[in-house]
Amino acid sequence: MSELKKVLYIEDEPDIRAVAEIALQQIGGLVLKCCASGPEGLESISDFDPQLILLDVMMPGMDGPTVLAHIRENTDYQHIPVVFITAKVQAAEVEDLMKLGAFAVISKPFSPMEIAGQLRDIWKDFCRA
Amino acid sequence: MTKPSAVSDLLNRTRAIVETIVDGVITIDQHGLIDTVNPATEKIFGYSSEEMIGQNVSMLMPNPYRREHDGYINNYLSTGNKKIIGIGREVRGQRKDGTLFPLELAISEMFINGQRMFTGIVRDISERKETEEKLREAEHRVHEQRVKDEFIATVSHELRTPLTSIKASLEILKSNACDGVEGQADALIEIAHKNSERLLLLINDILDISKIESEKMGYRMTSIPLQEFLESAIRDNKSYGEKYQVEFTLGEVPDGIEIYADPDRMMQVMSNLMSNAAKFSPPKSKVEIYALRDGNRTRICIKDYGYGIPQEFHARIFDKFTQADSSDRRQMSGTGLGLNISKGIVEQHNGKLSFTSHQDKGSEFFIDLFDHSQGENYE
Repeated sequence: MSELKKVLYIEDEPDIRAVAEIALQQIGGLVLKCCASGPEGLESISDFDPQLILLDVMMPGMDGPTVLAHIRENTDYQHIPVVFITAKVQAAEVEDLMKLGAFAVISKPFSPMEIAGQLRDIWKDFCRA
Repeated sequence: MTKPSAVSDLLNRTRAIVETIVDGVITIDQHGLIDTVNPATEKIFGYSSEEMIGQNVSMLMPNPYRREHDGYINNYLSTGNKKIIGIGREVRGQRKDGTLFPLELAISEMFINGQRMFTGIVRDISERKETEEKLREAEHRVHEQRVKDEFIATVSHELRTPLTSIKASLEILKSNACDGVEGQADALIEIAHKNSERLLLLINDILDISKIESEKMGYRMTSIPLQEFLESAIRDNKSYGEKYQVEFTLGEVPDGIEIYADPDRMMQVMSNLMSNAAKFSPPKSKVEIYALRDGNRTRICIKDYGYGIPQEFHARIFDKFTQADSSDRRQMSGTGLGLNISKGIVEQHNGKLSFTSHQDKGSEFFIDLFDHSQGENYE
């Protein structure tokens, strides 16, 4: 089983990107690339070659579900697990996101001390599945 | 030739049908007097046949139909203009006990021994109407609940977003994870501070919406000289304009005008409209404030020369949590609730908030208030 190292995070909120960088990279020891929008994130996939994509749901222009649909349409990216990270945390909302094809959903607010561990656990589950 | 026994048989059959049918069957002559009624008519209206026969059929109708019924018949007889004959329609009936009920009425015309007669078939549709009404009420309740659920879900999302930055910043600071990284602690403190301000704005706006919707805003209405009020609005919002390099200017204000309003709440509306105008205007542009007088209406105008509001967004501009581009909410530090609140406040002053906008030319918002001296418009 490979170890999770590279994560692409697509998030439009600059402050959340800033704290996530510290949480995932500095504290969590992951190699992280942050993108501020869906199109920017999609463009980064081929160059950055992430193992896992962490994806915000509500973004202007192209929202998270649309980004996920683009990822799933592309045969080169289909294998990458997508984890939604969202402040939409009601059970029905989480269920809807899972139905769209997300591998997992992490709720906001997240714990900066734990989020890297959460992603590693999700990665392990993905590798086992 | 039909045999007498066959005629008698046909009459018996017809009578049986009319007497057992669930719909009321009423015949009237050309003067509107009731000639025959069937048992269902007695049941529907509560009168016995003896009480109805020979009386004007208008006795079964409430006003204004009762008053005008003879006119309908006379109009038909003189002009041939059929308003209801041959057409079924829903009308109101009146029972003997005075209660009103909805009924379906179909009228046909016939001639018996050269006499013009009319037959009315009446069907009591109270139960159907009641069921329809209950269905409508249930649908309305479901809709209301859905709107409420969506609002709560959106509020939850909007509160959690700044909270995510605050909580994460504080946890990182507490863990000392940023020790040794120059400037990182300050940056995290700034993030936490900025987002707590955003959270506070959001909570205040949500409270305002709640108060407006439950009509608990509690306005302290008073007469306010408009010139002074607008000068004060420009003074109060000057620094906000400077932040976006936008100058607020005061144009023409008709002499001696007073508005009747809660000064704090109306200033809140002005600040919202002026800050929006500044936010969505290019640097070094102007936002003009002026007023007009038309009859008993005073119109306050806030005109910018900014980017304008996209046409497709016009219908939703006063909705909650909407901005033309949701990224603006963050970049422009708004909550997406300001215009909804402003509209609520103006309407609770019995006024109107409206706008015109052209992309890349600018927008103009109008607050219309009506003189309290004219009565009616104010509490």
